[in-house]
Amino acid sequence: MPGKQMERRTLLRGIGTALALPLLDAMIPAFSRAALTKAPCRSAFLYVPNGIIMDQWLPSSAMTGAPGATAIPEALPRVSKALLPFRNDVLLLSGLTQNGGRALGDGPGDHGRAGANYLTCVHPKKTNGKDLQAGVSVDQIAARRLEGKTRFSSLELGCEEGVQGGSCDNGYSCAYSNSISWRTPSAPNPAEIRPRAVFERLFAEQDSPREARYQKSILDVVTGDAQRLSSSLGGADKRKLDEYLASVRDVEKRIESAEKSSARTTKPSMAAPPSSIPAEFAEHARIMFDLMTLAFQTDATRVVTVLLALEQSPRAYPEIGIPEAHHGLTHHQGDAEKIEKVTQINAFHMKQLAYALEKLRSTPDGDGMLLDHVMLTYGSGFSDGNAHDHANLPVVLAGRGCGTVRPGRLVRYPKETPMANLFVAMLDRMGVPVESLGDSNGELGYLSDI
Amino acid sequence: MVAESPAILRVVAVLVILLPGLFAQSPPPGYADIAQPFLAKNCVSCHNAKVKVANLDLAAYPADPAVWEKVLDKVSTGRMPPAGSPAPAKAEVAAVDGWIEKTFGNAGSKDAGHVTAHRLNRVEYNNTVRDLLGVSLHPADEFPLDDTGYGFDNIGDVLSVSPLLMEKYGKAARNIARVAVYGETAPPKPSKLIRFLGKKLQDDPTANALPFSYRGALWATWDFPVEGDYEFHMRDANYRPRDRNTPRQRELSLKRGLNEAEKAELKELNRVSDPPVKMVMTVDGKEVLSEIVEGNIDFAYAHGEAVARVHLTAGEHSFRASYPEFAALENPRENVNRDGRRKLFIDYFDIVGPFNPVAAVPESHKRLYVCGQKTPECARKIIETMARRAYRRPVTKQETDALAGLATMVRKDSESFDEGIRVALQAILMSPNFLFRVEHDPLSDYDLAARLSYFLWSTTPDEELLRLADERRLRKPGVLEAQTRRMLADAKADSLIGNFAGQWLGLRQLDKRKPDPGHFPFVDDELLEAMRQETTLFARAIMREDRSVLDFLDGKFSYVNGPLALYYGIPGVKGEEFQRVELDGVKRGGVLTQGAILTESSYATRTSPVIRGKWVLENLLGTPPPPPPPDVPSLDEKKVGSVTSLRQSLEEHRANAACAVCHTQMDPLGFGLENYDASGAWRDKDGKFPIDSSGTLPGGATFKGPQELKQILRSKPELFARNVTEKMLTYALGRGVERADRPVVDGILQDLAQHDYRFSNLVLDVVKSRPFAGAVSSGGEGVKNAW
Repeated sequence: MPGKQMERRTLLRGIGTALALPLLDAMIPAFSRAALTKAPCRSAFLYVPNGIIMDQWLPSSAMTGAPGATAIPEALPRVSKALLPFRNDVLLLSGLTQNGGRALGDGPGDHGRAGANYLTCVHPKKTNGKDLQAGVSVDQIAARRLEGKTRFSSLELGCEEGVQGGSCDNGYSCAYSNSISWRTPSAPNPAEIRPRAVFERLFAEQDSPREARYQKSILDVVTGDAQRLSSSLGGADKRKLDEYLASVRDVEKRIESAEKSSARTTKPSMAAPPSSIPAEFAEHARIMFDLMTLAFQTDATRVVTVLLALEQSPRAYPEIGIPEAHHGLTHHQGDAEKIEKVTQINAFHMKQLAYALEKLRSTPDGDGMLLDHVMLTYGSGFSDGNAHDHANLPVVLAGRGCGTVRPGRLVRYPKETPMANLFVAMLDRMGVPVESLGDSNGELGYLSDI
Repeated sequence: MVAESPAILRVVAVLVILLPGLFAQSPPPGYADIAQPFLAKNCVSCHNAKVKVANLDLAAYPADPAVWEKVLDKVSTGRMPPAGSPAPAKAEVAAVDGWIEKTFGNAGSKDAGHVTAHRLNRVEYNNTVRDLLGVSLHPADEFPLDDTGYGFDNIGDVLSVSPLLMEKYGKAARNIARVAVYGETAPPKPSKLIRFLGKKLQDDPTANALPFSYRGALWATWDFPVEGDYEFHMRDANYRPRDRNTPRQRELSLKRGLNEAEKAELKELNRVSDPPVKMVMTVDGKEVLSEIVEGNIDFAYAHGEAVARVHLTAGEHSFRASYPEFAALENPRENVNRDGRRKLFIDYFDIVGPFNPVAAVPESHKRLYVCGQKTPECARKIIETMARRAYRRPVTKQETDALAGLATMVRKDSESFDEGIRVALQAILMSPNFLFRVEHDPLSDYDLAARLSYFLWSTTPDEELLRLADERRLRKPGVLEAQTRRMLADAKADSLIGNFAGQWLGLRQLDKRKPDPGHFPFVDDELLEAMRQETTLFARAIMREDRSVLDFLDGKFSYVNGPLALYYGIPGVKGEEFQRVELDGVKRGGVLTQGAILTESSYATRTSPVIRGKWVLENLLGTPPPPPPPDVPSLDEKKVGSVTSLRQSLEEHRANAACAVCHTQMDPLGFGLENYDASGAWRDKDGKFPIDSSGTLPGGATFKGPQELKQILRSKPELFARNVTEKMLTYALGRGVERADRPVVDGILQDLAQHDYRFSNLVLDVVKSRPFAGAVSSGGEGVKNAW
């Protein structure tokens, strides 16, 4: 017997009603009592590129009809089928649009726009390099506001190396599709794709107090250098130096929070991943999800983005019998064989999401499981990739967001509802409300109510 | 003031946006006489309301100045009308350019101007650290990928600093400083330092996975911490599964109690079915071990480990273990058994050491400790000397004070002189003065020295460049040219090939364009690497031999090793070493016939004349076609190669007028390369259809086969030369080429044409150009900043 610990669910069953119970001391294992405080809310943003085969995403009957919430259909088509075991843990959202991904007079380049627009909800400026401009992404808005609460204000993970050289998408710099997270409108956050590097960041050895002092003194000196330089500069030069200064401050804060925190003694609950990048997508994605879970579990960060593949990704999936490039296939022009392959890729990606959800659902956290305290979105900047359609996007919102989200439903929103409204709603639930974000025009409804 | 109220401004802004629309019906004077006839003759067959190629309608008067800007750019550079179309007379072009310039002249900025502060990219960081301190570390390999703009990863505007990168800068600087001051920490006694495994044999999760080779080879590079002896331990296999056995073999191996004669017979049968093979290991290309590996019926390693001990200096060395006879294997799949395992392969590869480490003073120590006393004055001198090299300019007193202050603080704290230097050095390596190249206006001599050095060497200026900058002599007549020639002759100029040519020709993307093993069973990582190596060596030869850059199009030579030669069908090259081969240019010659280029411009499963044509237009001619309009009908893939040839299918596709305007440019270029399959092997048939590699370019020029196509491309070198010039200028400056640069590019082109398009002329012209070198000053008078 594990002791006198009572399960919360046992209590609830005994009472036979869904009362919100105060967390009783007897429910907490003795050893963790001291550590247990109210679990913080976390958010994760997962991205898959090139759109989804929409009729395999949801039955068209589910996507049409009056706005409002309904039950998730009993049977789901092939792409979303992997979510069936999680029907009580997810909201499937339909009708959201990313208008900023559209041309809006800028001509071709939907993929470049879709990537940079996805979490910023800002129409990125068309440029191959000069005056790069998107917006600040939702994860970074949260990260800035939560700064100092955790060691890392955010983690950016990815499963595909960025494009090096060549042109990316019709006059859009590769920077637009290499990252979904944007710290400032001109500074994307690169994603770390090496699992080992993420692991080593999370569980780095702590400096001696003396060394920590040296490190801070070094940062003071280079801050002085940067301020002196910056004061004589203007325009883009100054912006670069400001980026530098902000990054130095970030590192400084990390040293400080490491000094204060005792959480550093946490032993990782997983072995160090291999130093090389897993060749197969599923393995790579799963290790990244393990690391994301670990980061949430140890409260190393509360905000994570995972770029499962770059927008316009040419990745092939030979492990599931698809040697052709993903992006090329999505321009199927109605070819049944290509549609079938894209469906398989979409479903394969979704399976990895299911893995992540299972992981979050089975990891204890505070008075529940991680999934109770997480809001995780999964989606693409396109619905139909073939037509470069930025409307009616496929969106999964998983988790209960510390009780602020009521999952288990399918919600239809009026056409052209900005996706940004979802992010506004999420930030609100994270306790970091904003007036607006990108092209938002309100806060998305139906997330918690009926 | 009223005029400054935002509301008024907004009204003005709205008017500015609306005005062109309002006055669309009233074109400015000269339009009807000069511009309109020109457009009608040369442009509107594609750019009309119906077809609207590139979303451009020039049939009606376009009021938007941006459109005219675009027209000016395309027409004045010869990029429009498209390659092969009848070109308008020079006088006509000049007249219309003049009219556009006069009428819309203020549309664009005249001054391309300042280059944004440029953070060192990964390659530059590694090289810079190597050249500053003589340490052999590659810390930037751990940095996040550098974003690219205009096709290159050294564009100041795009290179940003993130908290993640700053964290890695901290980690890297700390490690570099530690190694530079104290030397590499070698393990106190010899131990296993690293294990490498082939990608498909990864059973140890902590091992470094290496590329996959059908020929069973394993190869890598590694940084050896100190000079000393190192052992390479490797286990290899020569394995043939039982199902290949003859009936007699099977009978004997199942039989119990063999007599002596039968034992001998079985042994001989086994030896014949699994002949012994030679395994060779090389370090830096030199053979250090060779052994005969007996065949083995069981999947096991009966002969144990092979060990070679080698004396190595500290730093990076490359090594390779392989079965050289297999370089001549025509079908590398012969090395794959039915169960998917390879017969011959290297199982693992360990590095153990160091034995008898040489306790020499590390190179970094010599560079760092320019004076020997442990005094504050000496610390200051050490720090100032290093900061000058790191910041690529003299250091101010304030800067030295701050750094020396760190050293003093640490010394008081830990009473260690070295520790003070270590901390100060870390600060230098994290300073924005080191991490960024911030240029002055006007460009200082130090800025120019750094520009030169990062352009040609991808690294920090050497002492000679810094000295010339100190003396303000870099811009004296002849000095810049002499320096450029000196630098081009230096081994470090190979960086220009790796980084400039590597990105221009897309070689870094090759990994992402791996052909489908199902369709291209011979093309493994090793062969792809050989292809990349071929194009790199080819480009390098153009630089080193100062050949014409037009040789990129059709140079009649290349570099191949045994497997690649076999793959291409070039006789007489054996073994794994690369050799230069002279070509007749019929089947091979120039980048368009090289495996790397042909592979990266194909689908994973088949060729695409469209993609290849687009590749040529974009990468060689600098005239990328617009993307396809939405909802174009696609090829019926299933029919291709069975019911109709790919060519027929594409020609049907082109019957559609909307598609035709671009595809008449792209497709013929691709058709000319159809004799090369999706991974560059020569072929005469595709499926059951004979290859038809003839074509007609939009202007009516016809060709038969790749050789004639290349002749056409070379005979009109202007577009190619303009494109290479613009790419090189982009790379050299770290910014996009703008309208204001056009006269500069025109000037370079004129000079190149007079000098046979020599590589060195191109580089020199770029270096001496105003955007690169700034105004040639008389020695620095009037320069605002001291550096």
